[in-house]
Amino acid sequence: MQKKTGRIRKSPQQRKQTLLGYLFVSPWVIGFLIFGLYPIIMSFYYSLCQYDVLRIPQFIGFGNYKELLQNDPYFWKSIWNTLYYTVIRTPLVILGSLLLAVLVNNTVKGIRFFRTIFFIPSIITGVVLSALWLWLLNPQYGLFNSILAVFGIHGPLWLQSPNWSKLSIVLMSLWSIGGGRMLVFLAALQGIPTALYEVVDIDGGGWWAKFRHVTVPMVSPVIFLWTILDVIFSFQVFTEAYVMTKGGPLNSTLFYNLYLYYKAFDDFSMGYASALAWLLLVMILVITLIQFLVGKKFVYYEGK
Amino acid sequence: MKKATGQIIKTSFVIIMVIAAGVILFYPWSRASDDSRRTISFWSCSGQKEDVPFIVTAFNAAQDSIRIVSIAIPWQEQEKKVLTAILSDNPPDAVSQFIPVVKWASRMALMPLDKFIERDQYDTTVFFPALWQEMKWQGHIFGIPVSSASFAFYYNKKLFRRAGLDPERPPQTWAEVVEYNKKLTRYDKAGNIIQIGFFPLYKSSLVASQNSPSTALIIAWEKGASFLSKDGKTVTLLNPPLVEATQWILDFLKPYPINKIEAFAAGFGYGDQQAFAAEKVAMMILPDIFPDYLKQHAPNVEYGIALTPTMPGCPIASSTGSWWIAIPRGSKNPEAAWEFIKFAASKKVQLDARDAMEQNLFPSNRQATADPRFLKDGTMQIFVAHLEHAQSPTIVPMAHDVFWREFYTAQEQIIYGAQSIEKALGTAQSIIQHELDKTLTYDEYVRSKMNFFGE
Repeated sequence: MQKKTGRIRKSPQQRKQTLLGYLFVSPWVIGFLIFGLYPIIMSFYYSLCQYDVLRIPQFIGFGNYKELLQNDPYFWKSIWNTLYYTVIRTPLVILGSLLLAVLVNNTVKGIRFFRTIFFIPSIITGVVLSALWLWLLNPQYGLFNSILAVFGIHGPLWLQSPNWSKLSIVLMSLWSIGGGRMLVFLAALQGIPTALYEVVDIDGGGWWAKFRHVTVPMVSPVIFLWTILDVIFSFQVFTEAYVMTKGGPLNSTLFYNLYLYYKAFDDFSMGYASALAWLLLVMILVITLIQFLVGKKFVYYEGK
Repeated sequence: MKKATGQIIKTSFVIIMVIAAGVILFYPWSRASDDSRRTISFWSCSGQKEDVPFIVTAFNAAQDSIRIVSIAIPWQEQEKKVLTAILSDNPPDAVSQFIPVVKWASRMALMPLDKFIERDQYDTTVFFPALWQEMKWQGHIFGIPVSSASFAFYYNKKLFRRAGLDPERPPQTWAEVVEYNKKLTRYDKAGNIIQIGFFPLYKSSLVASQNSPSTALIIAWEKGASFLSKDGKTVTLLNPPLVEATQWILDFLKPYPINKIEAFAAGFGYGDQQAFAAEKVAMMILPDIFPDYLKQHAPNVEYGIALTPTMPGCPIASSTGSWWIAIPRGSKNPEAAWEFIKFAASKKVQLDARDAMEQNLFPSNRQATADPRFLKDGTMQIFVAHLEHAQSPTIVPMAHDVFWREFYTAQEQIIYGAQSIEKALGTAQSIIQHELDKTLTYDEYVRSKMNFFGE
């Protein structure tokens, strides 16, 4: 150590260590540069072009963006559909997962069995799930309408109705509330000191007071985390609509990513699709920033 | 510390060497070298029962100078994989596909075949006109059709008898379809439709699972509709034949509330849930492979095959689809690939292929379909007649996918009663036209920069 220069000189051995460190992270770094950063930069360039992958790109400036914002009815339609889905789905899945986590945070005998049972549905992949729900939601033979019929209710057309199709897909997404989200909530719940609940008992508070004044504040960082993640996931909804409705009826399930997919892989309008992708990034970024600003007021961090 | 680092490096080195040695030792190096013939590669879509298509096996058996190595690619992946291969300058020597040739040709992914056709004086009149029409773009030929699909009017004899109709007399006009339909439609106690005489296909999600052409399009074609101007620059969707055809469907569906129709149609599925196989729809336009499909999924359905009904004074119309083979841009063995294409499209091979395979594709070669070997079953004549009158579903080649998305969106808007016929078709027309204009402008730009045809 030479205090005079203010710099820490590394011994040859330390330098070797550093080099070795870089060597070990290099597969990831190289992979990221080639398969991550380069495509990201190129996609921005292509978003300024008319481009169909096979032929040379034609630079058209902000033409794609201009057309999207000013002259594309499907752009606004797909944003509306996606927002509708996001706004309804996000609180429902978070609340559902939290309640389920509270439920399985019990010490009843065989609770592990129940946790497993609740988790199982979430391991089914999107396409299979969609094929299954197509039949559950079938207006004439489906489980939902059969049960409703028992109570004398004439069930809706679900996926075949422009008014119900988005709600049907929200309903379907509740299928996986017992998945990873529930597990994270469960871990957070188990980190809450029991002393806090005992305090509520001493003060004479019931289960609601415990939930409202202990559980929710204590897991609020996790709720915040999932709000951000679920908004991002909801914005990327694709498989359900692609498999079950193809965006119909009357484009009521034409979600943003589905439209992007049609543009990119049916029409080969890669430039246009790249512009769509960049606008999606901007939208998600803005919404996430707003969430962080608003979140500060509601989230309780224990360490602080 | 130093020692530990050295050890890590040594251990990694040894592991890598062992893996490399294993690869060198066990890689099947010798596989390709037992044949002295020139090897060319062919990428086909799987979907046939065999991994190696019949035409490839037959070609390899008949040839002593060229050998084909074929790779079957799942059809959903085909487009992406072949495009990637062409872009990276390492395409297969020949490729088979069924999506519009123009979609690939216009992107300069395929090699023009004109010089081969001229040199060999290859007879292109043997192919059905609708199929041949699809191979052209900008005055050049980009593929050769090897097989196709034809459609016909299927009807359920058992349901006909039950409704008191003569099972040997299918409807001949669309007016008769309306009449028959009244007798063939049945409801349950709650008033739900459980069986319908004829179901006009008006949305793409239905078509995907039912494998039928759009009813409005068939009727519009009968009435002589034409959707694209001769120069390929102007789209007219809002034209009298299509308006009338759509109106016919609206009138046909008038007795049924849309929610009943949609609830009923939601029960259509794949396999034995297919509308005709499940005996939910008594009359339907279906492809020529459908008898095989029924044999597999619903062997008890008793059906007849007839000519598609017509509008008064109009000829029959039908749709088709072609499987073609082409030579990708950058192919290293175009000559050998051309030999293979000629072989695959020849009469004898098409007939042999049909006999050899379980799921039959329809020959593209008229000499093959005129052969007694092919016509052994009387119904085949009906499919041949349809194919003679068929038009290509590639209606606006340069905006193909947008055309079909908009076409079905418009039909759906009309049937749901959300928009008038004029409004829906007009909107669709302007969106397709806009896309077409964009593609044509881009095309012009590209052609000013890239000299592809060697002109």
